[in-house]
Amino acid sequence: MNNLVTGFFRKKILGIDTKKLLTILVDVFLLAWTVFNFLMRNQLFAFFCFALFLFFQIMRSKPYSVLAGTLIVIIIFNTRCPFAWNDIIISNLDVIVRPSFFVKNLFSANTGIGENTVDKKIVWMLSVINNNQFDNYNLSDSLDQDGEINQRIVETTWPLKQDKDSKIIFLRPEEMINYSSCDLIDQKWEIIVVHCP
Amino acid sequence: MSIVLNFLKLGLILLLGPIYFVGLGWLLAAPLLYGNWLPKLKDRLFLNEVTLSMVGGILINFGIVLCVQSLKIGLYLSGFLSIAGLTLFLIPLFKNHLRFRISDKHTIFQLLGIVIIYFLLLSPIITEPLSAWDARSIWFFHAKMIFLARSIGLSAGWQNTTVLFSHADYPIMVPTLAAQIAYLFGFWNEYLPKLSLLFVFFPAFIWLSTFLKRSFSFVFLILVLPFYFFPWIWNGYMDGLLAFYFAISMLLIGRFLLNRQFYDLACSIVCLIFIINIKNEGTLAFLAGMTILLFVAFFNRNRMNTNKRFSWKFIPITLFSILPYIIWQIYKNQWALSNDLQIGSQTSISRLLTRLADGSFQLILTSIFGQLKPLLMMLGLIFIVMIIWKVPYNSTSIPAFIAALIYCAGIFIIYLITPADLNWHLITSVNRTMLSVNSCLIVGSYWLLYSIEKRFSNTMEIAVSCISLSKKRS
Repeated sequence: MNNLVTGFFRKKILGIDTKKLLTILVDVFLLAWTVFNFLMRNQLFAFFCFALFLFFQIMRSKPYSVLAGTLIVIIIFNTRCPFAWNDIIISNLDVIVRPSFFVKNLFSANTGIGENTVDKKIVWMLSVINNNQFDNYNLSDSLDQDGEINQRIVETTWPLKQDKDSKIIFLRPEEMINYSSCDLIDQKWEIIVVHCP
Repeated sequence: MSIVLNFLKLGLILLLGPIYFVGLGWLLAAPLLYGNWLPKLKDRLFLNEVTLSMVGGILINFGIVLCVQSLKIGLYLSGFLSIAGLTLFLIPLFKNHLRFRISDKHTIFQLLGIVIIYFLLLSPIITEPLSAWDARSIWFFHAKMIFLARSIGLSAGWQNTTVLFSHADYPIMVPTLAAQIAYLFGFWNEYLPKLSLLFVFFPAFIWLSTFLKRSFSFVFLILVLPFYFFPWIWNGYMDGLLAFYFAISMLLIGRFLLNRQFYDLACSIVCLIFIINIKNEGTLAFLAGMTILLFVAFFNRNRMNTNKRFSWKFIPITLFSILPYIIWQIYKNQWALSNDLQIGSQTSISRLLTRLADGSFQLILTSIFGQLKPLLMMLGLIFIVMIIWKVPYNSTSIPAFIAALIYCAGIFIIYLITPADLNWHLITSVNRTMLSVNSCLIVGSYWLLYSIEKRFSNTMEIAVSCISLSKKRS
């Protein structure tokens, strides 16, 4: 591959000077690249690309630092890398500022389930199950089909399992009509928990 | 008191964890690299073998837990083997009066950088609780199931109908590691099991540091590659780790094409084997990577055979390292855990044809392109510069580009056959599935930058020699 490419730069092709041919090829390639970026709503880059090409053509030397600088600009403005660097700095500073908060969270059982990690409805449902020491529970059809509620309650309450025959049922207020014979235990955040006979 | 004790425990796990994996992995890495467990000191590549051992250690640890199914027995057995492996690792060093050669300043900087990054990354990983969807619903839920059952067997609850959403068929290497960490502490919470992410991320970062060079290309590699996957490296998803190891594998193939060191090829294969245990997409990455590796091995077969590091023992050892994956496949079949994508079924083929006909593929292509845009932009720029500056194209970047193409084509087909709503599937996953493709583009860009720098350094050398010659003449 290397020989092929370096050979290309040394020889004449069909009697045409390779330098001229290369310039034409670069122009065609750049034009296509500019149009492509323009069509893909990358107008700024299309313009930038063309300006850079002119700059490289004008400059006689080969300014590697210009290429490096341009790549750094693309990395900073077009990738998530700066967010990652920022996150590392912030989280480390946070640990330095309030270490006791993290130590308490790290070394206690069942920590980390709160309104910043799961929906407030889940936090409440979990507290109802834990406070009443239910052995099992069930979800109404409506809640069962709600992916977020279903998945979160299953994984946060595990190893407690959903049981279709359970007398403890979580439901939405509009479904209460189907559970008229059941006793209301608690309700919050548009979720009701009932005990059915 | 318990907090102090747990703090000490965390410190010990952080310090001893990597050593435990090195010991365990040495049993795999030593025969793979040297053909025996007690290689001569002068032949050894310290940092590279430590990295390979760590990855091998994670694989063996997972394999042992899969075989015995119990977390407790698995930890005892792995611990015993790790001590044996560490002894074998250290014997030659003691024989030579612990003569570790830190060859140059680079190695000291390398080690220092690695340690700093290890502790810097600890904070974003374990101080943020699990909140991402898949992390909670799949990966760390599996870890919780294993931890609470103290087993990866059926008692973990894989067949329970309420956990169908959790894709119980997904690989469980990282969840097993997370469950082991929780087991060592004796309780479950949403922070500590995430330590498993650091242990899996760390060896890949060490591998990256072996490319250390005083150049912009290395700065580009070290600042972009690991952090491009934000936040997928430390939020509990496996996509970042998969992409990172895939990239490392392609980097190593590139270095093999440059130096023809058999070691790089071996490590690349181990990386590919490692990723099939991370996530299902790892199988696609494995196929893409192996296709390239076979081509590379075929075209370099004459040069490789003369390399003294190559040993035919390499083949059975490689097959041995695939065992954890095979065991998990057997369990999945036994427990009837099937994948929801129904790949290869008649319905999937009809879905593929329908989506090709109704123009859905355009939506997929647009979504995929949207994710690749920034890096294609960068790549286009480097290519233009290479053409203008007449830099010869270097073959080291080719494997990464072909791998990206194969992987991208595979993901495109998966989107065509998905039984889920295509729009929903694309919106929720395309940014993650394209991480592996992007990682290959980063690797390709690195090798292109490397060839530009090489060209410049050659030009500089010629210029310097010309100046010195003219001075002599005058």
